[in-house]
Amino acid sequence: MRTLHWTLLASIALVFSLLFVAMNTQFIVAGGSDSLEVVVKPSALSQWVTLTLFFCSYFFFILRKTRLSPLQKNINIILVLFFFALLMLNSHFFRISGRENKLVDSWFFIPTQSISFHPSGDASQIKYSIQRTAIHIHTVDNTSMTVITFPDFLGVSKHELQAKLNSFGFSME
Amino acid sequence: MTDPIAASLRSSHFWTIVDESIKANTYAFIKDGSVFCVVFEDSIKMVPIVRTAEVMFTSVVRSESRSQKLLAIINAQVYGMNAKGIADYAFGDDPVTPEGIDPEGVVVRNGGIVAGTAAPLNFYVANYTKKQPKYQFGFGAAPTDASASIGGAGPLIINGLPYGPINQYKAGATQGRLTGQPTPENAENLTQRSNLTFTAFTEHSAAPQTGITAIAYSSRKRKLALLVHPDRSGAMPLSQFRDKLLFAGFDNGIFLDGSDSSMLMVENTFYSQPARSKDKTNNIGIGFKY
Repeated sequence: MRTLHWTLLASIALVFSLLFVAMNTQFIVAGGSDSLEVVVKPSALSQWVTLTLFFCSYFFFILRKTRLSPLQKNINIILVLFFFALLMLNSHFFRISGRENKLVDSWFFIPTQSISFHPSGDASQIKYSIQRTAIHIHTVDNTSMTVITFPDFLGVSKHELQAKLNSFGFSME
Repeated sequence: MTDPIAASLRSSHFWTIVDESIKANTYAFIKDGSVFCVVFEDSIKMVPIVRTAEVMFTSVVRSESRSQKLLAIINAQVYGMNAKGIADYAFGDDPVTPEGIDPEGVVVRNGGIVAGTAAPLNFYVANYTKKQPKYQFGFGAAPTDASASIGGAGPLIINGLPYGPINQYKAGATQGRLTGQPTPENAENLTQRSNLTFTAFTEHSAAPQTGITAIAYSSRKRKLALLVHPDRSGAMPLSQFRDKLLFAGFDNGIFLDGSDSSMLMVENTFYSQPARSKDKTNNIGIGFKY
C-alpha cells in the first residue's frame, strides 16, 4: 500500500513538474512563435510553492506512520485534497493570441473555451464583466466565455487579466 | 563580412548615405542604434526560402544564401505547431519536421503557393517584376499573381497611413471610434489606424526588448528596406520603430515574426540569429537578390 502511495506521489510530482516547466516556456505555451501571444498565467513561484505544499502534505498526512482517529484521518485527507486543488489551479492559463486572432482559456494545455476577434475590427464589441471569482467575456453575437480567476498569487490573476483586456480595447460593462 | 554604416533613419543624410552605398555596392547596410537596415533598389527580387527537411533553419539559410547568391535573408511570418510538430518538439533536441509547422499566411513563389495557410485577416508584401510599384503591401491573403509574396504579417504603415493600437484623428477634428473601421465622416481625419495584431506585439511579455523584423518600401525613392532589431538588444517599442520609418519617408511597412525569431543574414554573415527553439522549428525565410 505504501509503495502505491509513493508511486502516486512521485507520478503527480513528475507530471506537475513537467507541466510547470512547459508553462514557463513561452514557445510551448504559444504552441509556436510567440511574438504575438499575450499570456496570463500563475507565477512560477506560486506553481512551485503549491507543488511543494502538496508534496509535504501528502508526505506528512498520508505517508507518515502514526495511528490516527477516523476524524484525524478525514481532516488529513481534506487537507491533502485542498493542496491538490491549489495545484490544479496552477495548470490554468489564458492567452490573447494575435497569431490565431483568438482569446483562449486553457487548463493543462487543453483549450477549453475560446472567442475569435477581427484584428482590424472594433475591439469594444468584445465586452467583459468582473464577477467575484471570474471574468465573463462575450461578443455581440453572444459567443461567451467565463474565465475563473483568483487573487494575484494563485491561478490566473483577475487584475492582470483585466489589464490585458483593457490594453486591447475590450470594453468593461 | 560587410560592416554596417552607423546612421540614423531620422537623419537628413539618411538617403544620401543610402544612394552613395547603393551606387558603390548595389545595397546600403546601415545600423541605426540597435536596428539593422538593409536598403535595395526596388528591382531587387524577393525569394522565399522554405525548409523542407528535418534540419536547422539557419543551415537552410546558409546553404540557400550561397547557392542562390542572396544578398540578404530575414525570417518570415509567425507560425504555429500542429500535433505532429508538438510531438516532435517534445522528444529530443533535433530539428522539428517541417510538416509539423503551420506558417500563418501563404508563401507564393512564381505564382504558386509553396507553403503556409491563408491568413485573410493579416497583411502581406508582394513582389511584382512586371508591374509598378514592384513592391505592394496590403490587407488580406497574399496575392498569387505576384512573382513572390508572403502573408500573415502585421501592419506598420499601409499606403502612408501609420498603424497602432488605437485610431487617432487630426487635432481639432471630431474624434471617432477608438478601434475598428471609422465612420466615413471620421475616416478623412484619421491619422492612425488601430490593429490588434499591432497591440498583441506591443503587449508581449518581453516587449519592448523583443526582436522586430520588418520590410518597408518608399515609393518616392523606389527603395525596399529590410529592418531587424535583434531580440534583447535594447528597448525598441514597435511604435518608435514605426515612427523611424515614417520619418525616413517609407510609405509602406509590415512586421513579420519577431521576438527571438528575428534573423538577419547579409552576404553570408548572421547579424541576428534565432533562438534554438525557433531555429529548430521555423520553416520560412525571405531572401533578396538582383
